[in-house]
Amino acid sequence: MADRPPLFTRRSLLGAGLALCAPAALRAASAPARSNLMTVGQLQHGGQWDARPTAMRRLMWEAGKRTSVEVAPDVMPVTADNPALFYLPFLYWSADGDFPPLDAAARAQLNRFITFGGFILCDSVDGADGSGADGAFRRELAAIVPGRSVDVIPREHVIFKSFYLLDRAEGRTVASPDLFGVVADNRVSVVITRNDLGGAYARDNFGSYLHEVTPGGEPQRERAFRLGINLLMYALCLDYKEDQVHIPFILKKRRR
Amino acid sequence: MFPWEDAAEAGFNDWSVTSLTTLPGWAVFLLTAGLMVAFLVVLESLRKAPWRVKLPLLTLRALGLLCVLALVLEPGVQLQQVSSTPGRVAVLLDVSRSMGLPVGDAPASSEDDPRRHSRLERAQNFLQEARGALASLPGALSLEGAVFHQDVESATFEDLVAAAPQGNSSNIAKALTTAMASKPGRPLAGVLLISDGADNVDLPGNTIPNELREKLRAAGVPIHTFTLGHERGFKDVAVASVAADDFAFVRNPLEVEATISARGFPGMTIPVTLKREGRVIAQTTAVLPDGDGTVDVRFKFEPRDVGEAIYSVEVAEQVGEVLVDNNRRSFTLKIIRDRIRVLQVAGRPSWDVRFLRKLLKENPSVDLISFFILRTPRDQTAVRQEELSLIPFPTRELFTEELGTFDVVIFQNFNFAPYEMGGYLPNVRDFVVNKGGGFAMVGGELSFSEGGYDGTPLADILPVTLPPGRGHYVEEQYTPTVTEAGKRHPILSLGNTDPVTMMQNLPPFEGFNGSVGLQPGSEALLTHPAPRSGPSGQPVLAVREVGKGRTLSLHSDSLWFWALPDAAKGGRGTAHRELWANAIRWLIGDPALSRVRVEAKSGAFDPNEPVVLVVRAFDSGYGPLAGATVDLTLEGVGDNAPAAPTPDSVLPPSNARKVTSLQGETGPEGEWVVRLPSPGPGAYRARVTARAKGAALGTDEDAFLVRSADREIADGAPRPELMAALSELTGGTQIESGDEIAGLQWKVPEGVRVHKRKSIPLWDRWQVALAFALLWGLEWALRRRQGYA
Repeated sequence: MADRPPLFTRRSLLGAGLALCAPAALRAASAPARSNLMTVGQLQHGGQWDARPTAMRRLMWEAGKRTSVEVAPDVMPVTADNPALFYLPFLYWSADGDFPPLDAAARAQLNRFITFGGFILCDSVDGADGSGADGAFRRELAAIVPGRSVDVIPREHVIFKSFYLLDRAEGRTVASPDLFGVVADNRVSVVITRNDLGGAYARDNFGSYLHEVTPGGEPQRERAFRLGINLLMYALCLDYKEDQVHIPFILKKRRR
Repeated sequence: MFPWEDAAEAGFNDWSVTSLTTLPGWAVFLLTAGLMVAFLVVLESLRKAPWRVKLPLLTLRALGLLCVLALVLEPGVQLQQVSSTPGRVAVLLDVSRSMGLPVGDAPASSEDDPRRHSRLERAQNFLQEARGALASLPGALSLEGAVFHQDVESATFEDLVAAAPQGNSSNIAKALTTAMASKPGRPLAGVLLISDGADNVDLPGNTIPNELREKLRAAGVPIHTFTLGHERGFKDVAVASVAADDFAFVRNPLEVEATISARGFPGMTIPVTLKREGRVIAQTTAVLPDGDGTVDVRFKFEPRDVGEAIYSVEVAEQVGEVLVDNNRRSFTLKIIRDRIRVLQVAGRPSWDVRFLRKLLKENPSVDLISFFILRTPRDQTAVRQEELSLIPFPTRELFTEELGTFDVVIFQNFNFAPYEMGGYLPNVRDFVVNKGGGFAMVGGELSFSEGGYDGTPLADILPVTLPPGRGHYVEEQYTPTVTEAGKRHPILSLGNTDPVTMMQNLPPFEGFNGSVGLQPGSEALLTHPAPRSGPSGQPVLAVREVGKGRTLSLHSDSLWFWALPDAAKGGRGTAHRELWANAIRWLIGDPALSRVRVEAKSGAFDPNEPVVLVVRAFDSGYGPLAGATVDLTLEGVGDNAPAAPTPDSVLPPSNARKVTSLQGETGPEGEWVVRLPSPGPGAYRARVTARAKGAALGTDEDAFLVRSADREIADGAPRPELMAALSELTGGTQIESGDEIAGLQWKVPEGVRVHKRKSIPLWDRWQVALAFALLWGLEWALRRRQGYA
C-alpha cells in the first residue's frame, strides 16, 4: 500500500472487500481522503521516511480532542509521484539523516503541490544543522521551489498563534528554537523543524511515549503538541489569526 | 534699378541673382575648396616677391578663379512678377437661438425700450454702425463673414445684417477654428467675434481649454469681441456647472460641487438643493455675489444604493429672472461598490473552508471577514484561556449591528445552535429579503438539515426545501450533472469550456447534503446523478432570487477538489476560483452578469429629440443572442419629490410613474434598437427583462434625462467672461460700439504673392567669357614678364 492509499469512504471500505471491483475502485483511488476530514499524508522517499511511525497518528488524535477539526485517525503514506498526493494538502515529510535525491518528476510534482495550495512539514529526526536530514531538505527544496530561500520564520508569524500562543519551537529536542520556512503561493508553504517533532509524539502499543523529551521533559512534550496543532491550524486557516478582529484579543493575552 | 526694360514690359516687376547650376552641393564644395588651394599655391610662390609684383598677380589670379567659380555656379537672373498678399478679417456672428433673447429685463409696457431688443438685433445694429470702418480696413485686408450656431456658414455682409436666430447650440470654438483654417494666399489678420458668449458645446466654462488655447496661440491673430446681453437689467440666477465624478462608491462620502452664477441679485441668500431623481437628498444655501459673478456650493452625502441614477442641483426661480430653465442642472451618477464585503462563517476548519478563504482573501475586490469555530464546547478545555489565541464568537455584533454592512454572508458547514444564534436567523432572512443581501449555504456535516436549519427562517429563503431531522449527509463520489439552467447560468460560465465538458474533466465530488427539492422560483444548476443512493436529480448547486436578495445553496463540502486535486491532472484550480467569483458577483446582483443589457444612446436628450434605447441579449457564452423576447418598461422618476431632505435609502420605491411598455425581439446581431418619441421633460428609467426559449436571461436598467428646455435657451445666459478671456488671450480688444472698429489692431500680412517667374543665365553671355580670357591672359603675361613660371 505504499503508493496505493487505502480507500476511505464508508462505502468504499465496504467495496474494498469485493476487491478490484475495477472501475469503481479506480475512481475511488483518485480521492483517497474524505473531503471533510483533515487527513495527513506522509511522504515516502528513499531514506528513513518513517522513523516515528506512530507520531502523526498521535498528533491527529490530540488535534481531534482539542480542536473542532475533524481528523482522519490514520496517516496516508504517499510517494511524490502519486496523484493522490493532491488530496492530502498537509504533507508530513520526515527523515532521519540524509536521503537520496528525489527524481525530477517527483520534484516537479511537489512544486505543483505547493503552487496550488499544499503545505509541507519537514521534520528532522537527527537534529543536524545543515547536514543530515536538514541538509537534504534544503537541497530538495532548492530544487523543488528554485529561487525561494529557506528563512527563519519570525516569532511574530501567525504560526505561533494560530491556536495556542507560543514563543518558540520545541520537539523531542530543542536543536533550534526556530522554525524555518519557504514562502510560496503568498504563504509559508513549507516549514522545516530540526527538533524531531515526531519523536515527541510517538507512542508504543501500550500508550507509553517512546522517547524522552529533552531538556524540558513533559511540559516540553506538551509544547511540542501545541506546535503541531498550530501547524495543522495554520495549514487549514492560513492567516486567519492575522485578521484585524483577532489582533486586540491576542495582544491583550500576550501582555498577560 | 530694373536691369531689363523688355522684361518690365513683359510684366516682371522684381528680380534677383541666383545660381542655375545642376551640380550637387558636395561637388560645388569640393570645387570651391580646389580653387582656394590654387589661390594659396600662388600666394606661396610669390611669398618673397615685392608687393608691387605680388599685388597685381594675386588680384588677377583671384579674379580669374572667381571667373572659374562663376563658370561652375552658372549665375543667372531670376525675374518675377509679385504682388502684396491680401489678408482677411473674419467677422463671426453668433446667430444661435440664445441670440434671440432680449438684451435686458425691461418693463413690458415700454415697447421701445432698447432692452427689449434681441441680442441679435443689437449685434446687427452694431454691424450697421461699423459698416464704413469694415469697408476700409488697412492694407490689403478684406472682409470674410460667417454666421455660426452649431455649424459655421460663410455669409456676406448683407447676410450678416439680415440673419435670424436659429440652431440648437452655440459653438464658438468651432467658429474660431474654422476661421483660422489655412487658406493659401489669404492669411488671417484677425477675428471680430460677435456673440453672447453662451457656448454650450466645447466651452462650458469661462476658461479656455488647453487644446483651443494652443490653436489660438499658433494662429497668432487678435480676436476682438463684441459681447451681447450683459447690459444692465439682465437678471438671472443659474446653476452654471456641476462637478461630480462619473461614478462613486457606495457608502463612501461623496462630494458634489456646483457653481451658481447670478446677475442682478446682489447679496441675496437662496437655497440650493441636490436631488436624486426628484427626491431631495441634501440642501444648502448660497449667498449671491454683489455684482455679476459666481459662487460655489458643496454637497456632501453618502450614497446608499448601487446603480445609475439622475441627480440634479436646483435653485428656486427668482422674481424678475429672464431665464428659468437654467435654474436646474442634471447629471447622471453611477454608484458602484468599492469592495464586496463578505462574511464567511465556518463551523470548523476544513480544506473546503481553507481554499474558499484563500481565494476570497486574494480577490482584490473582496473585503473578507472570516469567523471559524476553532473549538467547540465538546473539545478539551484543560488549558488556560491566556494560552490560546481564541476569541469569543461575536454573534450579536455580527448579526445585528454589522450585518447590514455585508454584501454576502456565507454559512460554510456551520451549525448555529451551539452559539445561541437562533434569535439572529430572522435578521439574516431580513438581510436577504428586504435589504437585498446575498446568502450562501455550503454543505458539510454541520450544514443544511444536519445543522438543524429545517423550520428556521433560513429554510424560507434557501433555494431548496430541507428534509426534517438529520441523517441526510452522505459520502460517495459523484460527478454532478449540469442542468439546462446550469448551462446558461453565469455562475457556471467557467472559462471557455462549456460546463458539461468541464464537469467531466474536474475531480468528482464526495460529500452531499440531501434535500427534498427546489423551492418555488429556484433554479438547480447542478444536480446529483445518484444512481445508487439518494434521490436522483437532487440539487447540488441551486440559486434563488428571494425578495430583494439572492441565495445560493451548494450541497457539498468538496468543491475544494476543484482547487488542489484539480492540479493533479494538470489543472490550475481555475474552475474553483471562477465558480466562486461568479457566485459572489451573482449573489450581489452584479448587473454585469445579466444576460440582457439596455443602454440609452445618450445620458440626456434634447426636448423633441427621439429617445433611442439599445437592448442587447447574450447567450450563455455572452455572445449575441438573436430571438430573445424583451419586455421594456419606461418609467418617469422624480415626481412628487418630498420637500425635506431625506436619506435616499429609506424612501419608498414608489416614486415612479410608468410611461410605456413595449415588447420586442432581438435581431440577428442580438440587438433590439428602440426609438421612442420624446416622452417630455424629466428623468426616466428604462427597465428590461428578457427571456429566450422560455428561460429568463435577466434584467437590466438604465437612466436618462430629457431636458426641460433645450440647452441653447437653458444655458443662454450671456458670458462676457468667456468673451473677455478670448480677447485677452489673443491680444484683442473688447469693443462696445461700431466706432471702435477703425482703431483696432490687425496682423497685416508681410508676405508677397509670386504670379510668374523666369530665369536668365548669365554664362552664355560673351562678355563673361571674354572677361575670363582677358584676366587669365593678362596674369600669364605679367608672370612671364616678372620671371615667374
